[in-house]
Amino acid sequence: MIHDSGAVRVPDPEMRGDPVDFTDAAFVRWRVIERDARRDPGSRGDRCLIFASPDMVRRVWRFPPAWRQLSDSELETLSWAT
Amino acid sequence: MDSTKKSLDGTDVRSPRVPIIVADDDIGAAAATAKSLSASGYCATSESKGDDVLRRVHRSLTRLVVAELYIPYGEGPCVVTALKRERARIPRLRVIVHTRHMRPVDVEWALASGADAIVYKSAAPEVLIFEVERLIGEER
Repeated sequence: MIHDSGAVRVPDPEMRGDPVDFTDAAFVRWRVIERDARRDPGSRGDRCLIFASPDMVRRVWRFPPAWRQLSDSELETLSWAT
Repeated sequence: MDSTKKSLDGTDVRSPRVPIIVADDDIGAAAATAKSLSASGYCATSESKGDDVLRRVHRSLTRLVVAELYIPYGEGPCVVTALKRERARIPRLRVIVHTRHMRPVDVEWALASGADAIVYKSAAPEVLIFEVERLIGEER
């Protein structure tokens, strides 16, 4: 199943837990989900984070287990990781 | 030639001349994106046929492909899927889907094909530039 939450388009199959929303320093709204990536070609791990904004979607492989507890600014920094 | 530009936090970022292939079945769109990347200091060239993209990837002529989502190639409907199969052989290959297709099903298709990022064509040009830098710079 895929959800379209306003202007932020994110797929949510096999996601772990609820998405986390935050706003970055440029007032861009992001939605973050944890994705089961085991079947994604070129996977670098079992799971990844997907950061979705109205302009783009990023995949981040290296993230802390407690990423849901991060502040907005910490999530913004994490979105620039790979 | 290297280029120096500012990252989002204001620090200088030096980008090596990593060859980038821009793949789009719209030849004009591919050329425009390649020109934009070249103006930012990257060595970008454009291709409009999926098979030509794969041929160049096989020859290790790039580390990053910026591709429209549904570009056909000889054996299938989407060159992004074929590129991700190259991951085992070319683990450093990164793929940004640069697309006009913004439906949730398109996003899921791109992610299930293994895309490292998706940038919508409606976004400002610098969104793509910063994403290229994020992926190229990850191993520096």
